Amino acid sequence: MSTPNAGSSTAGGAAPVTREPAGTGGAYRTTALVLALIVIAALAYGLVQTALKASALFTG
Amino acid sequence: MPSILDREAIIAPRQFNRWLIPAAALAIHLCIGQVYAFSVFKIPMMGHFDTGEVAVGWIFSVAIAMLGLAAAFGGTWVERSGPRKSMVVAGTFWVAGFLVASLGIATGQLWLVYLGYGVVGGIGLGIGYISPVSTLMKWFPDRPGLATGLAIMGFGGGALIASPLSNSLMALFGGGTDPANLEAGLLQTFLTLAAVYAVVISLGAIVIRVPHPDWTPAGWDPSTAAAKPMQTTANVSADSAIRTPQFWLLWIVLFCNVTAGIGILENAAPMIQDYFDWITPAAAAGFVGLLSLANMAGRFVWSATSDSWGRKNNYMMYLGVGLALYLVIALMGGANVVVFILATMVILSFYGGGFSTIPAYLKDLFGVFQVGAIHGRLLTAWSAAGIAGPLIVNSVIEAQADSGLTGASLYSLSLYIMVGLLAIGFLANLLVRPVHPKHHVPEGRDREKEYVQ
Repeated sequence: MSTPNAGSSTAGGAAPVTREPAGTGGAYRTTALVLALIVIAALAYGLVQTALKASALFTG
Repeated sequence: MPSILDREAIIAPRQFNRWLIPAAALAIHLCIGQVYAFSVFKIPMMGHFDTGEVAVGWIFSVAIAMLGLAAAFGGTWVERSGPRKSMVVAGTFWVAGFLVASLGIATGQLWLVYLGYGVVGGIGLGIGYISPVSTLMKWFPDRPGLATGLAIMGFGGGALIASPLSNSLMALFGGGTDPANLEAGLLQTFLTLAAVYAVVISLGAIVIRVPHPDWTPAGWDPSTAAAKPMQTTANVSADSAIRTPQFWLLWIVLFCNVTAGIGILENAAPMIQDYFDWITPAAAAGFVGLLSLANMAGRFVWSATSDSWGRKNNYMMYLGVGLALYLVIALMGGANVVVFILATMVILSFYGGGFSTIPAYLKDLFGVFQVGAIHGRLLTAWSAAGIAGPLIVNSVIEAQADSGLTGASLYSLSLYIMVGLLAIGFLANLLVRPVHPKHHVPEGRDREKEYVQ
């Protein structure tokens, strides 16, 4: 997957690794996006709940 | 033939979107960060086990002590095994801890909760805390502070999520929000959290990748890092690192910063009510929520800014400005509630920033080679501060109360002690210099060790 943040190969230095890179195909990308959504939703839930609790400082 | 858990099995291709990795790191930190929300179980557990606050409080203390020990002793293994294997092991311990604790709740055996949540879960905490940090720094060599801020922000975020979630689950399973209902919902809540954490950590372990050894971020020139005097391009092994003065100076810095933060955190709710007698218990709980937000925001914001300001300068700010703000609270905190709230919020943001900036500081001084293992050993400062902070603050407040003091005067002495601690931390940070080259791992050996096991 090529993106603006994708890395590039360096010219120098022999890589000691001979193994093929790990798969990052469609299933991988779907899993990664699902996980990102879970993380964002969970963080949003926590932030909103805490902000509501914190608002008691000004209303309670 | 390496297994799917090994580092060799998760090397990303040269063209890979590194922004897929922070979610994997956050996944485990959001799960294990639940430990900071353990207090929501205090009252239900006291009722369920028919015991006191101290006996239940020990569950959290054992877990935090095990976190420090597991991070210190397991750091080298984590570094050698790679992030996927260590995330799976951490997740297994963390979830098993919940299951053993559930057995303790079901059978009314408190010792099983100590063993499960405290010891077994605590091992998961220690391994899980350090497992994604060095990997993230390898993906973001151009912005290591941002990387560690992202991961360690998750630890703060975990408590923000787990606290309301656990309360809702206990109320759901127990059939109401009364203490008896919450107590009745304890077992199912523990089992549900175990299942949720098992799924999320597994997804994180599936998604995590290590960069290809030939990979560098597009447009990033490693020689720019070499030009900065406090950022080494050499590497120091974990065993050598603990023999350097820099490691112990940073140990003191972390210890002082954490102890000072705990000074506020430990007594936030009663403190604001003692300073301002018109603050209601509900408003005091809101103040605690506000401090949690400051703690979490500080983890990300300050660590990210350290990439441009420099790690040493950031700690000068955490410790120096923190010291000044402690003095403001001690001298005139009771005069104005806005000043009090703002000062404590900034102090708590520095507390969070201190946690998240330290891995990047270690990377600057010791290189990325075994930074996870070195970070693990440094976290013993957190364990020590976790014991020293509450001990200092609570015993001083108790002594002040015994001598007849009330209100804001109860806290003055402990605030001045924190000022002294921050001054020591400030001096320790001032003394940090680049590591002597005699400690460096010979060039080539670090790469070899990291990628060819």
